[in-house]
Amino acid sequence: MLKVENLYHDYEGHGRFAVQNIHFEIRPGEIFGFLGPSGAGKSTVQNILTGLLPLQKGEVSYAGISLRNLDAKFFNQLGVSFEHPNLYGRLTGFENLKFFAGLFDVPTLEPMQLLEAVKLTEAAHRKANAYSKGMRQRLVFARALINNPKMLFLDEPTSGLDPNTANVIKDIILQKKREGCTIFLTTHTMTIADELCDRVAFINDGKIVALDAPRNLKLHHGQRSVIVEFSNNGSVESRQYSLDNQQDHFAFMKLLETGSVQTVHSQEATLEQIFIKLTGRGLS
Amino acid sequence: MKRFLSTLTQDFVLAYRSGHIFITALLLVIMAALILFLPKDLKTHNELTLDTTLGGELASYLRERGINEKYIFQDRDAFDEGLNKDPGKVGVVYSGSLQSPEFEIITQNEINDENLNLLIASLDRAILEIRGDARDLLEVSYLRPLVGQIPFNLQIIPVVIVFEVVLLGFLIVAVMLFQEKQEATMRAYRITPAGAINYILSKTALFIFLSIAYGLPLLIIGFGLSINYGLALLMIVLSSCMMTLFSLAIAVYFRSLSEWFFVGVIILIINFLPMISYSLPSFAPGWLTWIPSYPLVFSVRDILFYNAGWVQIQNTVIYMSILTVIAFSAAFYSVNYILLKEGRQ
Repeated sequence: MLKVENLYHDYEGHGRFAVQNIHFEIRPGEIFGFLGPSGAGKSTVQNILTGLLPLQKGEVSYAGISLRNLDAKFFNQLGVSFEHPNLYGRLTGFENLKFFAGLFDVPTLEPMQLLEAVKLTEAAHRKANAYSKGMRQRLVFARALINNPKMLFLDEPTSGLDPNTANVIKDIILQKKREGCTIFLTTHTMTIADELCDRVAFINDGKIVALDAPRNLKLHHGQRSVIVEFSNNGSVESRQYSLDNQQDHFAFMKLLETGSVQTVHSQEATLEQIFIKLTGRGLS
Repeated sequence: MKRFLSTLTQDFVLAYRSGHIFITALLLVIMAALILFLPKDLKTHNELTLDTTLGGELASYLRERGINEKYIFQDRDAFDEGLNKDPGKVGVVYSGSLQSPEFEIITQNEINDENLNLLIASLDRAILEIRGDARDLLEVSYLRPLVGQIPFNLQIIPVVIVFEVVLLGFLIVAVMLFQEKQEATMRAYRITPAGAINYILSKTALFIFLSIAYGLPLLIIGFGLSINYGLALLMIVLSSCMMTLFSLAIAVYFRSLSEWFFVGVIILIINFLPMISYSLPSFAPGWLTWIPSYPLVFSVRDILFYNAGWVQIQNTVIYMSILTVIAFSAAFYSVNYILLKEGRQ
């Protein structure tokens, strides 16, 4: 669906590249996570992919057609949810969606249905200025879906949302994936990426430092062991058992037979730990 | 067409909710009140005349000419008192006889040669007419059919139409654009197939509508059905188009209204300069006549008061059309290559 090759971008033209040598490919119907801390180059890449920034060097193609050769109709297939809600504050939620629906050449979704999906039905006819940050975030998300896009760019879609509302948004994202929509998800929240993404790319200082399925990354960079907590003479103790050591297998089985085991934690790495391991810095 | 209507509808709603339509309506009401309630005739008389002759021929002559009694004196004390009360007036004392008249001019302020010569010429003329010796000194031929005296309250219409349309088109579209910049909505607009031309045409159409909604009622109040509305509206549309597009082309380069304000006000002041020429037609230096509002205000004046037709205003139409095409090209460049790109939001 989307192929990026050897992508570079230099804002000032002085040879200081904000992103460099970026390669990846997103398959149709895939949720692709683009993870990195602020300033790593996530937004630069997304802005190039959505045409907001010019393609200076490298190649970006959608379904085999270069971004350079795509005309305005290409935007009929695109939906973008921005991190910072950019809405017409003097228009109501409904009017915001209605206006943007009118800009596309393709059949669009019903604004009220979208507002209902993101739990904004009651606020549909209130001006967007009166919305809370979370409501504005949901409205921007709904706007990204108005043209029923084939390719969806989501920039921190659950930022500022309470857990219940975040779950609603996550469910919609998964529903869009089931409908065949390809999704490019930019975030620095590892749990979201872990829950939603088929594959993730870590970007740091403008370069991709790792790219794989979350599970593969965790297995590759984690330890093949479990930490067991058990009771021993009234106190709680813990011990680590390797999955590759036969003596540890016997010891673990013996501990299980005592009936004192309270918890067992596998020791694959979290995405955050992998990122720190690879880059020496955190994600926030 | 669908996306143009969608954008136009949205622009109308935003113009309404931002108070721009209210401001336009308020201006319309104020200007309509001016037209309705300003006097039709604003004649002022700047001279107090004292006729010291026994026959009082000059005083009688002035009365016959409809000059108000309060400007005519035959008593020196009353005349002096009148001059003291109103130091701005010029005193004219007539003595001698019709065959050898003598005039004394009393003024407390500087009087320029032009006005002094006019006063002397009018007094000469008066004496000649009283003696029965007056005759037409110059033959005057008129290029167009003579129209009656233009009522004072209607004289302001070309000014209030042209300059308010210029103001509306230039100022309010910039305010709308800065609102969109502040809300960063252009980034979302950019990710649609709508494009720059749709954006520009929608704003232009909005301000054409507002300009007509403002100008047409004023024309109807002032002139009823007696003018060529096609040409008058053409002038309004051209003014509105040119200023809206020009404003878009410039405002894009500024981040906020406060940044734009200084440049915007200077441009508006330059566009208002032809008002001086409208009040004093003899003041028309070459550079002033190139300011777009100059040919506009005089063409509107000619359409409204002198029955000007297409032939008389075609140069203005051509000039304004060329400016509109240039302004559209500039606006397209600014919107397409600056406003709709990253880094200027």
